[in-house]
Order: sequence, then C-alpha cells, then structure tokens
Amino acid sequence: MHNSNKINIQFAQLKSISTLSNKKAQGGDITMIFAFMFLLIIIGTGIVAGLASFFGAEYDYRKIDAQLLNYKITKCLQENKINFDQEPELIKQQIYEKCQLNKNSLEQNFYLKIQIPDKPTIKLGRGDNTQCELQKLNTNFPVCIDHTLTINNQQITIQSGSKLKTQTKIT
Amino acid sequence: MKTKMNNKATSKILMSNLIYLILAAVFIALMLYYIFSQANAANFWSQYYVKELSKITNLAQPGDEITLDIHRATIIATKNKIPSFSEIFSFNNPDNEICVKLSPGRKNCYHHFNNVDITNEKIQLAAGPKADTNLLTFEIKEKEVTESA
Repeated sequence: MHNSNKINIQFAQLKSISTLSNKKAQGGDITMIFAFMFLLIIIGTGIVAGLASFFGAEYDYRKIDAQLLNYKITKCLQENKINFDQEPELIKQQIYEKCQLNKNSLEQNFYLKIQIPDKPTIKLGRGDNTQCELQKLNTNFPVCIDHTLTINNQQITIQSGSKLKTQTKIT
Repeated sequence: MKTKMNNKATSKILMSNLIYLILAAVFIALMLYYIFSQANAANFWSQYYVKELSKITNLAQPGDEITLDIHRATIIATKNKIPSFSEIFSFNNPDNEICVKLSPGRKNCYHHFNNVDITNEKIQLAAGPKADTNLLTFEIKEKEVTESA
C-alpha cells in the first residue's frame, strides 16, 4: 500500500513535468502562426498581383483613337471647304463645326495639329510634337499618328493624338 | 487504457493543427472566390465593349441606327448578378461619355469625340437572324446643344 502511494506520487510528478514541457512546445507552435500567416500573405499577394496584371491590364485603344481622329479630319478636309487664310480662332471654329467634333472632349483627351506650308499651324486639344515623341519613353504621353494629304496642290500634314484612358467609376 | 491515451494524443495533435487548417481553408476559399470573380474577365470585356462603342460612335453620322451583338456582355452581367440588363450600357450625352457595367459596384467609361447624341437605346433579348443572341440598338442624332460655339 505504501509502495503504491509512492509510485502514485512519482507518477504525478512525472505527469506535471510532462505537461510543463508540452505547454512550452505549444507556445512555440502558436508563435509559428505568424510565420504561417506571413507565408499566406506572400502567396496571396503573388496570386492577386498575377491575376491583376493578366486580367486588369488596360485595353489600350489610343492608337486606334488617334487613327480615327486623323481619318475623320482627312475626310472632313476633303469633303468640306475650310478657309485656312483667316484667323486661327475662326479656322478652329470651322473645324469643330464642319468636322462635327466635340470641343470639350477633344480639348480634354485628344490632340490635333494641322500644318499647311506658309500658313499658321492650327492646334486643337492638349499636347505637342514633343509629347508625341516622348510616348516611346513614357506611356502616359499621347499616342500620335501623322498623315499627309494633298488638296488643291496644297500639302496638308495632320498630326492627331489620343491620351484617353478608361475611367473606372464606383457605382 | 492505451487506446484512451492514443485518442487523447490524437485530439491534442488535431487541436494544435486546427487553427492552421482553419486559416488554410479561409485562405483557399478567398483565393478561389477572387480567381473565379476575375476569371470571367468582366473588366477586360467592359473595356472592350466601351471602346468598341466609342469607335462606332466616332465613325457614325446623325441618322445612323446601330445594332451590336452584346451576348457575351449579358452572360457576364448575369454571372456577376447585375440586376437589370438596362444597367449594363449607359450613355452620358452631355459629357460625350459611354459607360459599361459588367460587375457590381463599378463601371468603365470612355469618351468619344464625335459631336453627336446617342438616343433610343434598347436591348433586344434572343434576337438576331437565328434568335440566339442579345442585341443592343441605338440611334445617332445631332447634338442638341452645340458645344463648339
């Protein structure tokens, strides 16, 4: 009986040591949650970044917009008689009216330059030739198209550009 | 006695790993939701439709009536639980702006430079030659207020 009590006490001591060491191990285990969460965050960021770059990339339409504007102006100059001998402001007004261009939209997002030798250069919208050239280095500058046509033995150079990008609106 | 101790050890191992399992399950669920929400490429297709509409409008002249196949847009909008097809396409004539909404809470907008208004837009379901596509029809009219003056 005495012996059995002694064994019981020893067993209880052993058990308490074992529990203590287990708790220590659990502490280490809980600390590992931070490492695990860090790993999940890294993997998650990678997946999100990969998908966003693949599916969320801008569908760049600026070159087509610039071509469309150039085509529209070319057609308009061929079909309508615009007097380039008058004041630049009057020429601009005639271009807006006869070529059916929206002034606000053009001034905000597009660029248009009409050059005729020995006549003042007509510039509509925002931008210039330098910005068009810089587009190769910085994609935020307008994408431009040049086209030359001859009307009544007059060589006309049309440079059109677009810096229009999709606007995402929260609804 | 041995089986009881084994069960206790197993439950202890399970308990210590349970938090990891829950975290992993939540992470996988979130990633799957994100991947499937991106996989229908709503952003790409809304950009595609808004820019195609802008191109058509830029080339159009007053009096034109335009019909466009919007079947894929309606499929994506249905998958993304857009309540009504009339919400997909919106035309803001005063600002010369066209918007396409294919996912809830956001829409993509694009400007056109042609000085015209878009009117009488309507969506025809199960239309086309074989009555198997959804079509968007609208008319091009001269701008009511001339902004170039």
